[in-house]
Amino acid sequence: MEKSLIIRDLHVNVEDKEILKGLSLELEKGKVHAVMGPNGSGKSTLSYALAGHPNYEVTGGEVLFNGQDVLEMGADERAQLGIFLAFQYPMSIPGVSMANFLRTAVNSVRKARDEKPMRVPDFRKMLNEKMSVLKMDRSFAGRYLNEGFSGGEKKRAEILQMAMLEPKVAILDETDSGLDIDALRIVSEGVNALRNPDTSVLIITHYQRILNYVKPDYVHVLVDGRIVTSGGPELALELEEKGYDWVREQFAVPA
Amino acid sequence: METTKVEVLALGISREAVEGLSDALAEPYWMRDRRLRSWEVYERTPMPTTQDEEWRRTDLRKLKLDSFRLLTEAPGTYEPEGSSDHRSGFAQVVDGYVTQLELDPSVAEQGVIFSTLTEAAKNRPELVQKYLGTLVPDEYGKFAALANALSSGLFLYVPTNVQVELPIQVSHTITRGGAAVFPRTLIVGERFASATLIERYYSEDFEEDSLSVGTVEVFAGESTQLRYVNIQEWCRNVWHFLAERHSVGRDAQENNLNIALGAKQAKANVDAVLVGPGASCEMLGLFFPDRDQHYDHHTLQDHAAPNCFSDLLYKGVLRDTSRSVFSGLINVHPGAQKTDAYQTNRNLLLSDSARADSIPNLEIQANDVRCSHGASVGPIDTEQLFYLMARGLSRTEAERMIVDGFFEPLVNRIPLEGVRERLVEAIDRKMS
Ligand SMILES: Nc1ncnc2c1ncn2[C@@H]1O[C@H](COP(=O)(O)OP(=O)(O)O)[C@@H](O)[C@H]1O
Ligand SMILES: [Mg+2]
Repeated sequence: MEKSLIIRDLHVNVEDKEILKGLSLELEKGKVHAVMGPNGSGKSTLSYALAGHPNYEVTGGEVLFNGQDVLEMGADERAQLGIFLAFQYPMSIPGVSMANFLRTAVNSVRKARDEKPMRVPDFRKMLNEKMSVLKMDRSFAGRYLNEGFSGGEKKRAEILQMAMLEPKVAILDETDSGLDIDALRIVSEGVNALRNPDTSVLIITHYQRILNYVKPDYVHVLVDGRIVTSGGPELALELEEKGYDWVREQFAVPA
Repeated sequence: METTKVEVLALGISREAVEGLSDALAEPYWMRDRRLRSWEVYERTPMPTTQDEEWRRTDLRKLKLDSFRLLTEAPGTYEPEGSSDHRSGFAQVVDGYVTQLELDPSVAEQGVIFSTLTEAAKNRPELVQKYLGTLVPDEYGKFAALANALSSGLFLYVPTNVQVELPIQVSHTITRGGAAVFPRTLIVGERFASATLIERYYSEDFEEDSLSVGTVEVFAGESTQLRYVNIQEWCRNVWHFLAERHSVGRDAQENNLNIALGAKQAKANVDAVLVGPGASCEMLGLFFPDRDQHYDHHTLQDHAAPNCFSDLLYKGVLRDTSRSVFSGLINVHPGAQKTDAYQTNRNLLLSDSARADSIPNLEIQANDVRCSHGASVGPIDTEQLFYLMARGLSRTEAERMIVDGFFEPLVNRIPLEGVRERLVEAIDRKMS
């Protein structure tokens, strides 16, 4: 199978404390991978490190995107390559409308691919289509980015951005947490709509719940900064049933 | 419209220049007397130093007043800017000379006066005497006295019940270094009148320093609505001083907006005096210094009557090693009950070497009031920056977006599309 993203022996420090301790993971094109792990295991650290957050210091290992080393790249370059992170806690940007922001983002990514900026009517049309998939009111486009959004609205807005940017690797950091069942269903539809033979999806979650809606091809378990085991969708159910302590015992990770 | 032409003047800042200017303008004697009295006040008023509270953060020691000259003639007429169908009137002032002045005849027919101050002093002395220098008297400060001695400028008068729909635009420019200009604008709206005046200070680059000491006096009479916009885009070699004061009468509504983008060092005092019950004033300010520009804004919301409302919002973005000072006072007089006064100053620092000081002040001498002030100074939020960059925006694009967003609530409150557009362009230039 063709790989999109290869993570080998990744070590990441946050404020001089090692959080990822040799994490390895390979994402296949067209597949959905789930990474499950308890709170504090390093899930968000992994997301931020992949997206290129400057405070997450990579001290060892490598990350290749279609064979290219991304660790030297800034967050913007990675995004332009097609790496997308749906944030667990999206930032609000006062005074910047969703539509204006999205158009700038879409055009930045297009520019990096030597494509012409999108024409305004085409952009509008695309935005309206994607918003209706996510059951977002049109007025959303005029609102300031995440400003005063409810938790669910923020998550939907993340998925909208993902849909607009059509990434090659989509990382969803606990996009499911805090969503009620209807919102979860809508967000999942948005993720499913993105599935295509060229795109890898990495769903990072604490709970198995979202995996009922977005069927993973692979499940990986992250404990204490490492992937300790991987398997098929059934692993998620087993984990749900037996809990993370079971994993810790099985794989002899100090709790 | 005849424009006044000053004959010969290449004098430094001096009593001779005051007399020469008055002669050249062929002013009434009372104007000349006023100037000379102001000159005396100027002479005996000490130059402010950083020992004076108001000047604590703005150092004038490098200002060499004797290096500036009042210019002998205006270098040709400038092309009028913008299209004339979106304004009721237009005036251009070049190196202190009014080179062009026009007012829509249908507006003039309603009794609106838009003329040079000199002409107004000749034709309507009672009006000029009633208002000129009353908001910015010599005692206001050394630079006010200097301006009172040497200023010339424009007079806008809107009679009772007259609505001037389209803005009147005034454009000031300096064409060379070493110049001293003293632009002055006097605006009087009688009762139930309305008008908008947009004033712009602008210059191309020149080598030597120049000086501008501006004065603006705005009188909004009972139930009158006035809007005043001041856009400062001098080149980087101008020392800019401005005393801009607004008197807001009973049930009047006054909106003022000050935009500072240019100059070397700028000291602007913007004051609103709410003199009649029910008066309301909106004070907006936007400033964006870069490199070594230094801006000092001092504002006053002077509540002298009950039931008045004032709302101030000043926002600044600073780049490079630039510096800004905002100090604002809400002063509620005894008896000014039911005052509603708000003051907010926010500053965004784009560099570690930029510095903004924000000094809010309240002086409340009435007991039934609602007043609040808020101030903040801080760098761009790195998490916001990362969030935008994680969507493919370059650092520059991301910063620009955050800056645009920072100014947006303020820009949104400007109902003048032309000003808004120009502002957005200017911010873009500052960001690139
Ligand atoms: N910005 C940060 N500053 C300090 N500590 C952090 C920061 N981010 C993460 N950590 C620490 O790293 C560990 C892993 O956190 P995180 O990656 O957020 O876990 P998860 O997303 O799996 O809950 C935790 O112990 C957390 O306290
Ligand atoms: Mg997390």
